Amino acid sequence: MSARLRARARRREPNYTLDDLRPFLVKPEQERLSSLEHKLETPEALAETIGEVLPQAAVVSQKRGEELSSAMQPLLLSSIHETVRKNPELFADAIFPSIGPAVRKAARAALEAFLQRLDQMVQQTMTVESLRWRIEAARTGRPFVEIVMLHNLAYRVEHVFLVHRESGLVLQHVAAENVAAEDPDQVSAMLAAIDDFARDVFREEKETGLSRFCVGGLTGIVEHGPRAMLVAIVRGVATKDVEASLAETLEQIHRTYAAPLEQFKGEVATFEPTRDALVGCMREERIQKPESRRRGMLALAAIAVLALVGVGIGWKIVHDRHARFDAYVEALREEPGLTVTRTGRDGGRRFVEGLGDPLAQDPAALLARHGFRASDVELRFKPVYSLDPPLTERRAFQVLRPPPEVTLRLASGTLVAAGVAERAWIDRARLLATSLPGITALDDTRLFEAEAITSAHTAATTLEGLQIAFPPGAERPLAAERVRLDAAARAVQALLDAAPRGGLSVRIEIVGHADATGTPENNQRISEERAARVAAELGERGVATEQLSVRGVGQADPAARKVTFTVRLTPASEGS
Amino acid sequence: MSTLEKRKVCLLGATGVGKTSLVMRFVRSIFSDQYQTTIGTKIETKHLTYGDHVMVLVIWDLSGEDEFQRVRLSYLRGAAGYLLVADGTRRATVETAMALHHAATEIVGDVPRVLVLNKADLRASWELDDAHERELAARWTVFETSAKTGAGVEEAFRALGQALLQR
Repeated sequence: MSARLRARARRREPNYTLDDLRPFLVKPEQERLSSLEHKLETPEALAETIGEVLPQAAVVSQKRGEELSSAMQPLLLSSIHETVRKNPELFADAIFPSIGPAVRKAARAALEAFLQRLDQMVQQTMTVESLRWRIEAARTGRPFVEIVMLHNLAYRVEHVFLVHRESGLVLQHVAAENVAAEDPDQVSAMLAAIDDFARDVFREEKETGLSRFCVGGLTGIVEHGPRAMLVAIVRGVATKDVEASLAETLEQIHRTYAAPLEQFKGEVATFEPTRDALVGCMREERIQKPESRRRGMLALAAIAVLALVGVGIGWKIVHDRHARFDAYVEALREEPGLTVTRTGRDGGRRFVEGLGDPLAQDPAALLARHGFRASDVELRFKPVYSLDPPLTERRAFQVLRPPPEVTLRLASGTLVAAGVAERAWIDRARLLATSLPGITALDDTRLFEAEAITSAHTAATTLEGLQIAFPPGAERPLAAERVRLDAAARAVQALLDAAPRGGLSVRIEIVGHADATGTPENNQRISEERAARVAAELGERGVATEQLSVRGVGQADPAARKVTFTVRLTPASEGS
Repeated sequence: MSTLEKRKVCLLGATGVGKTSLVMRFVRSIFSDQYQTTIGTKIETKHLTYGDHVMVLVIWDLSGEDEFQRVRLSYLRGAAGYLLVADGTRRATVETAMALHHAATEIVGDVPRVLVLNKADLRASWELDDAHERELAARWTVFETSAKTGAGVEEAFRALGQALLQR
């Protein structure tokens, strides 16, 4: 039925129901309601609607505070946890691109921190500053670590207490390494007491309270929450970061532990998980020391000292080696027959150049005595004849090869030969000696002929074997004795000739004898005359009579009319 | 597995009844005749073991009440229980203890507490008579203690701890 017909009918029958009228009255609203109903009751439509506003809602909620994120956090965490548990590969794939750089970054940071600690440790253990700190630690009775911290840190949070506000009981407590911890409950209760006291006495607002206190180098920073407070004990001057971190952590704890805090009776185990959050408040900041000049100086000084020591040792080694080489060269210079003309280094190896007589000491033989091996020093010696007297003498020996009885000695260019040698050697020596380099003359005045000695002795024997006979009472020998006189003259001459050549001095005595006839005086006279007569006879035969002495022995036993000869040969040096 | 619980307890009483001495005896097993008045509060802790339970008593030894100073009752906030300490040789200290009990109730409510009559070593010179003591025992858990000899001290604290544990 159309609307018009229904209107007509209404005019005829005015008892219409409200349902008949509703479409006319609230149709647009009905449509909106059904649309809303559709949106709310159909999951797809509802999702679409929420999807449209969700991002904006998140932004708005974020601006208001962190309720949304706090509320979402467990959901997200469990969702992630579940995803990872069910499909670890998916998660691994997702984080793979970032895990490498993250690991590298962490490793680099850890290494840097380690190096920094090492550097500090070295500095702290080896510097004057560290010594000063140790003295300070000993003086003040505080641990060395504390002194180091004091000087190295701008600040460090040493304790964080999470304290139940009403009871003052410690819900959680963390302390830095190497920090002596008093009973946390006692500390926190006392803090709570002070806080209570301060509030009561100064009648401050409920929401405020003790917020900061200082004891020596320590500062207590108190962050109050409705049910709990966080107290950080800071050494040094804390930055605002500490307060901010305390505030943030306390808010977080209040959000997470709202119910346990409200109903707290003493079950502290509930708050065990807050430890991580408290550790997050354990901040510290190191003093950024400008790259210390002193450190640089110390490093330089250390390097310089090491270098000096190194140079010193090197210098000592080189110096010793130089000294030994110099001593070796000096020894070479001292050595007769060797002349050093140049020394130096050639390709890292030492060398000595010079002239050397083949008869001189071998330069190589001197190396070992000065601590060198043959390979250490190159020897470049050219052979020469040396005029050094010892060398000349050595050469004379080598050339002349004297018999054992002969000594050779050089004095101012003159070769002095002494002793007894055969005539032939003497002749050869006379010929060769002056032709040797360095020998200008031969002094052979003490060089005697072996043959001459023999001749002298032979002649002496001959002479002493001769007797010249005389007639009784006569001072002239028998005519027949002329032959013997001639022989005596030859023997005497031979003696006088040979003795000087044999280095002998000779004394010839002509001894006159008489028989027992007549008086002894007469006999003495006649014996002397007989000796003189023989001397004269010898003189007549060309013998140099000055070498002869005459003596009469009278009628000596055995008495005889004769003249005999006595010869005395002595080495020339002993000559009378 | 043992559980760890902490409880704040307070010592309340008139000046010179031996609160600090009791705590020192209980916590550190020491006693000194030398009297030192407590200003404000001193705090000590003591671990008590009840089977598997370990309880840390954080003991607030509050300064005594007398005509010159009043107990700072705000220190009672958060206390799980308290010891009322009176001196047997001074009857008035029992009255003070009762007054402090009433004041404490207003702050911490009906919490476990014990009444300690200290200076049991001076029993001969007690002002408190048996009748009065019996009357107190009817309403209170009463311990006669001597901080000097140690008698009853551990028992008093342990009884309070036990009562706290059961709550």
